Amino acid sequence: MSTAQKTLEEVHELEGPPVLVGRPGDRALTESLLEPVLGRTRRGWLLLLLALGGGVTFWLISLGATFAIGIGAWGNNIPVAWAYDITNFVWWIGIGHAGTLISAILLLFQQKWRTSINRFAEAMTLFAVAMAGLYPIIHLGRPWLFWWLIPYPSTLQVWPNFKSALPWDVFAISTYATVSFLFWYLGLIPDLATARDAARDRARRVVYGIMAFGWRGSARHWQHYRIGYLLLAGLSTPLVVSVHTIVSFDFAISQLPGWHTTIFPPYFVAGAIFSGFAMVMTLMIPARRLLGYRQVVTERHLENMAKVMLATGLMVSYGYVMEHFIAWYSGNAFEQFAFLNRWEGRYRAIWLAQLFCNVVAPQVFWFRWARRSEVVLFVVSILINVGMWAERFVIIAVSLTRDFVPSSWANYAPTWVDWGLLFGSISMFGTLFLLFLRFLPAIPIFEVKELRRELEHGGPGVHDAGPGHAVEEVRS
Amino acid sequence: MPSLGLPIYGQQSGLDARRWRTLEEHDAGAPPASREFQPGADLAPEGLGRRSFLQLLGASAALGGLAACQVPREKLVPYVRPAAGVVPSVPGAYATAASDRGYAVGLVVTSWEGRPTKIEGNRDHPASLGGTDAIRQALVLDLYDPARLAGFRHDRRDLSWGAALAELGALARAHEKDQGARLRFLVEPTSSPTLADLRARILRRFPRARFDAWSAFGEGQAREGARVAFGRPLDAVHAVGAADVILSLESDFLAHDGDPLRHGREFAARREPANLNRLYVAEAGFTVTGGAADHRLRMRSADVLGFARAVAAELAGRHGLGALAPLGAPAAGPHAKAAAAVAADLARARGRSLVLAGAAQPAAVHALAAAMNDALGNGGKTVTYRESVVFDGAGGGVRSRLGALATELRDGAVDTLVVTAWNPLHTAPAELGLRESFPEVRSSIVLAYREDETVRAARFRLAQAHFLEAWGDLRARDGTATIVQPLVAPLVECTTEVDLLAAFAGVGQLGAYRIVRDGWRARAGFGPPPPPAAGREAAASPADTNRGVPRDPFELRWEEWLSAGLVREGAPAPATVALDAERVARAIAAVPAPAAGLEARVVPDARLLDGRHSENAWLREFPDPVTKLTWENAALLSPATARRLGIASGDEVELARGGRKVVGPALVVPGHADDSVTLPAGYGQRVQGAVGRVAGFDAYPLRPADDPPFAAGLEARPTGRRVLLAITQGHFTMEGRAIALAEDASRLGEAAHRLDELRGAQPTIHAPADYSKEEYRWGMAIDLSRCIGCGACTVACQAENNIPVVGKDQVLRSREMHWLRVDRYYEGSPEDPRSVSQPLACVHCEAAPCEYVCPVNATVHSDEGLNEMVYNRCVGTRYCSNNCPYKVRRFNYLDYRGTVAPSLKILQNPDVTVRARGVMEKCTYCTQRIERARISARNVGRKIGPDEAVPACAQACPAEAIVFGNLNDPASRVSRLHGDARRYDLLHELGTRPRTAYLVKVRNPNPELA
Amino acid sequence: MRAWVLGEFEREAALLAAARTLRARRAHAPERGSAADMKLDLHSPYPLHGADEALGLRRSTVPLVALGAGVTGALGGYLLQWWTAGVDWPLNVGNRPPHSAPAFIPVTFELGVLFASLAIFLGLLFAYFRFPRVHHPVFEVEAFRSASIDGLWLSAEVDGAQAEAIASDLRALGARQVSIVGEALR
Repeated sequence: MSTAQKTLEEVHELEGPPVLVGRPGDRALTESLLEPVLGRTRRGWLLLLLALGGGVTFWLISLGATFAIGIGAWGNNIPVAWAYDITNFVWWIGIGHAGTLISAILLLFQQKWRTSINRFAEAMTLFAVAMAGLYPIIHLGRPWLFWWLIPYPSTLQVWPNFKSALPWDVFAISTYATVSFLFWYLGLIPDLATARDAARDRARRVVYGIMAFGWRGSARHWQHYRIGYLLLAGLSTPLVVSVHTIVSFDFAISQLPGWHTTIFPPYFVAGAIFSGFAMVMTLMIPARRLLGYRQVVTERHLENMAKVMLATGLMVSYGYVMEHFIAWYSGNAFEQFAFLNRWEGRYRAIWLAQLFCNVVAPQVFWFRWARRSEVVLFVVSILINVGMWAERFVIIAVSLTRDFVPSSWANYAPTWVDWGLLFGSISMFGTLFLLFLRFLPAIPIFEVKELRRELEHGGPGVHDAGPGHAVEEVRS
Repeated sequence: MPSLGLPIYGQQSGLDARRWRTLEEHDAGAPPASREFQPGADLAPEGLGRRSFLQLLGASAALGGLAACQVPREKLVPYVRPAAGVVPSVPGAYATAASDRGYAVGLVVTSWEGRPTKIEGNRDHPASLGGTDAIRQALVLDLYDPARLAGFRHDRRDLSWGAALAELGALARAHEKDQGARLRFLVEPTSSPTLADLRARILRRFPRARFDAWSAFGEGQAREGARVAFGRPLDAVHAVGAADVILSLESDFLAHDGDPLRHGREFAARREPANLNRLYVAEAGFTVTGGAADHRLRMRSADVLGFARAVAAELAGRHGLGALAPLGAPAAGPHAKAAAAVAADLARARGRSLVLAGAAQPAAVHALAAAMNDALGNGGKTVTYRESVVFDGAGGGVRSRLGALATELRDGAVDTLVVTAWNPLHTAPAELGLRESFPEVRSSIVLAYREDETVRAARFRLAQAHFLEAWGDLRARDGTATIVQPLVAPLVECTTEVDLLAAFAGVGQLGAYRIVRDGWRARAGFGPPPPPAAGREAAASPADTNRGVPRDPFELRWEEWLSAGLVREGAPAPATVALDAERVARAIAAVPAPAAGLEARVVPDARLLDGRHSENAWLREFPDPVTKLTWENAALLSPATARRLGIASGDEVELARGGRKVVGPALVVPGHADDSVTLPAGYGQRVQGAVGRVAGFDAYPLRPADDPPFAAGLEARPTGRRVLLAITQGHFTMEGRAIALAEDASRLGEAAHRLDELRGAQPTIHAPADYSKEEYRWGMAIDLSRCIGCGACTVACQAENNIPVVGKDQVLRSREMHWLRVDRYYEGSPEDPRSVSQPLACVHCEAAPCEYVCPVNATVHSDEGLNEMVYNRCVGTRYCSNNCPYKVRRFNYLDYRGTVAPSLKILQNPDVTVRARGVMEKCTYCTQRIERARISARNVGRKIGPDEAVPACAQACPAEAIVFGNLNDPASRVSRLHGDARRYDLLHELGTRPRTAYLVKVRNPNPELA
Repeated sequence: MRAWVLGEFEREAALLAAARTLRARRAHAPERGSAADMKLDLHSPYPLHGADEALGLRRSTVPLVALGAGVTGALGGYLLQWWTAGVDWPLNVGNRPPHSAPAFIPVTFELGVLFASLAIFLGLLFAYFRFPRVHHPVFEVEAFRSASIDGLWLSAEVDGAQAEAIASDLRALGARQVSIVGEALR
């Protein structure tokens, strides 16, 4: 105990709470981190899965209705031709961004605290992008023809129109999904090998063995592996920025008051990270409780994420202010009306909710106690998720309700199918995440081991250390 | 195709080719139409032929009786323009006429291989001049209504026409012994000479029988007014165009009263800055005419007489028209100043002014109007009087029309009642007790087009033929006659009023065709017809002319009549009249002083009239020209009155008067008169079909027992329930944006430089595409000054472009599909606003925002500048609609087509794609019509003529407010209008460079009232 | 016949030292040519710092592959758009020029990233690692499982005849346990 405690206090002095609690040996670490994967199924996990199953059913029914009846099953109309569909799309894709950010950008910046949460975040990215990717397809009037957006020599001899932002979306989203998956899987390979070797039953050994492709921790592989991983991170970083920039183009390149804004790209990216971190938080807090990740996902991680949320929250708020300023400063009557309409129009309540959740709520993170209280973090992160959804709704649907020619103005009201597709997709997302937690190592084991080395010996470098059988284990 | 039972008329009509040529050349400058396909035209037929074939299959599947119904062997003559005869895939056009309150509206109906698909106005007909209204446009839909009546039933026995004829004959004979003392007829007011003959014949056979004429909103009061003023029931024919100052005493003469289509055309011609007229409208409800007024004086209907007398008094007092002194009475109240100004204006324009009275106003007002016109010397100039060509029974008000019959029915003095009037049990005031007495009649015979209350109560039910299936004739107000010729054999077992009356006249076996034809032979002063057999042959086989058999000279004349749709013979000359001022004064004195309290005004609905169009889905979904309400009616009242009664739009209110109650939604209408509630009639019938059942309440119970159809004493209280009203326009103010511009004539000068900011080139990154080299550069101009906002264009577009009806709930979700909508904006106080109407469809931007956002290139630009929508490439992202600043794109949110009845599928225009679920659509400038014009031009290697490619909206517009054409042809009307000083582009600042230009509406207010 | 000699070490330093020594022998003792074709490798649950140097590995070529693929993707992306929109069927779309470079940037960039990423991933797995290879001889040693958990292993692929010699060398260099996998044994 003594040594461990001592180093613990030292670290506390230096840089707040540690990113790794205790000094468990590699084997112990492996066992504890693989416990959720190799151990027996928990009842709580089953119940949760069951509960989400209900939501997934609702989701499937709503999808069925959409395909059978047509988009008319939704509340969309003319002028509000985009509503929940695209709102959900932008919301999900935004959430995805935090994962890439954590795993790629923080990796480039050598942020130690990223290590234990990156795979978690990447998985979230993957599932969020999967959910997001659904909407551009089902929102089509004729979804069975979605592939007409892909350039291929068709009998119609027509090509997609690359001046439209939607083909940009197609490429951006599909690239993003692919790269996120590659990045995530590449990171998984060594841990899959670990799972293979740590597993006691043949079935797991075979499955994980196949998934690990035969990884044997060879130094010759590690050499290429590390550079390749780093390169992927390097590519993902501009990618993640480009994706939400392009998503924001869907609106920025149009000329609808409330959409036609040059500030959208940075403002959307900031919003994406904002909501993404909130989602990581929402998932991480219960997970670290239930799965005993406390030693690797420490207060330090939570606090840093809180800081990021505070920062991005301020950026988003700046975006709101700037939109209004430009609307006023441009002297464009249509633009001004669009923003007045947010304050005084029929959807005022949603707009105010958005302001509270995205601007007011994160301000508690100025205080350390809030950054370290799981409860506050959880509540605020939920609020931010809601707030960011509201933001997208206000931008997309509310702008459409009042555009240029007053005679065409009309309001929007969602149907049960709209709600089904929103809450259903959240359930589906949760389900995928539960499966991930159960069957794949959610914490990058080899990186934690590496981190442990670095912590013990002040960063990389050759040093005389063993796998640390001797060192006593501290479990949470 | 005839094998399918739909005869292709004209093929067997054996036209004399030579006469054809001359006419064709004369009309369209086109070459002799030959029967073989021209190069280019031979591509289409297979496709279209197949399409028509499938549609006909669908039809025959739907209409069981179809194959059974007989192909008349008579000979028809197609209208001479634009197409010669019937070439498969080339539509024919035939002249005929529809009845509007008994008068003819001359029409030209497009027919595809025997399927009538589109109704248009007959340019040469005095009551149409080429224009049509929404109702006439929608009539073709009724033809294919799967719910229409079919066959003949007597006491639940289905009969063949032969059997029915026999029974009717027997019934008639039974009445001979007492000379028809117990035989009565209740008919629609009609101008048909043939029916007049038949009535005469019947009365000769049954001297003691009687004909009564009934329609809920007739012109009885107008003729009664003429009788008061001149001693005879005359028709006033107004030359609106000749008047510089017009005073309308609640006359909606642009949309309903008189010859609205002709009025609209003449009125619009006077709304150009060059020779502006000035229109004063005194009315309670907000009408189309009120919207076009320079000064709209809102007052309860009961107060209109008072206002008219005030004007008369001013004219007599200040302007020396002494003749009016006994009729006038000095004004009291809010409109005194107006009365003075109006009088002054009228006096300044003696002989060039016009006073009209509304059909709903009592006879005294019509008489007073006649007296004022007389005093102002307008007689013979802006107003002429003609012997009425309409049979109107006893005429006058409800009592004089129906009183006698009602009593006889109550006393059981009628054995046989023949009803051809539309649903009297629904429209007649309940006080007359028809609902109770009618079922007691021993043999009640009803001729009707659809199942309704009267049909239900009748013993003997006869299905009526649609006017496109029937032979007949009608006269216009000026006496010009039109032969009503069918375009298609009856789609179901049915008969006509002519056949029915003929049965009682004892000539039932002749058939309508012979009766009409022989009647005209006699009227035209030809000898008696040749022996039937020979006549038949002559008429039947076109070959006989070739065989050189001498033709019946009447034949030529007959063919001219049919092809032109006009018979000028026998039109009565204008009547010479002498005013009887005392009688007018007595009539005015007899009118009770307006009672205080809330006034109930039961008015014909803008779409359903008295309710006869209740089952027409196009009309149901057609937004009311003023309120933009679809599918149902509402109690219309002013904002102030609504506040006073604590009622808001959409509140359900209980309206009670004279012990009768109705419950329906209220709708607050800016500019409505206070203390008055307008109740459009025709909805909420006791017996309704699927369409009628959707919504609406019956307003007839609140109608007074006698004319006029308005009276005070209404009580209204909210029930606390709410009704969702499907209104297509939710926002009636422009928010200070330059959308639909209107300017006073005096200030047009200053306006010009402000307009310069709304037109002309704009700085742009991409150099505008150069269309000047193109042969055609299509463009449109819409003159808001001419537009009266009647909405005919909307329905014309719907008929032409196969636009689906979506139903009330979809309209509530604002998913209506009309490509062309007529927006209405109010200016000024909600209490007494002025209004502007603006037809808005795709404006075909040269830099179209919708195009560059489409991911699949489904909407692109043609080299002639059309913004093309490629339906089968569209995947339905709806991005284009989001980026369309005019929001004129429409999206098929549901499969609006899959549910259409097979019989309605053959109504589709084969030239226009039927759109599938999930596809975006919008106005195409009627590209199919452009292509037709292109084909016929190419066939002879000439350019498309200036007025050859005319979109449906422009064709239908009675005011000629919409002009379409080639902007690269400096001579074309449209390029002149694009250069007009009043021209501006909608949302010009966006740099979309729309091809549709708007012209500022000009108002001509009276400075004295400023 | 080839054989694989596996030795597990306690400490990283010892492991790396052993690697260096063996390499040195191979280099400096040509007379024992048998060792010349020895292929050394290290196995550890996490990347070992200094392993590259110890094994004398050359700089990885992965970045070059990524660069090549990325450029190809971007170039191809732009050409695709230029040809389809500007050459094959130029359409008047909202009065925009058929070939408008600014609008083509996003797709160009995305395709560049996509190609580079795919090249890295597929390149690593199938070109550099020669995966899938789930039956590599080293897996024959049950104890080798620790290589992905907490074991530090050195593997030397040598000619069967040399196996024993290398094994004794490894023991001498402080390997905790040494085992030999020969092709015959498989």
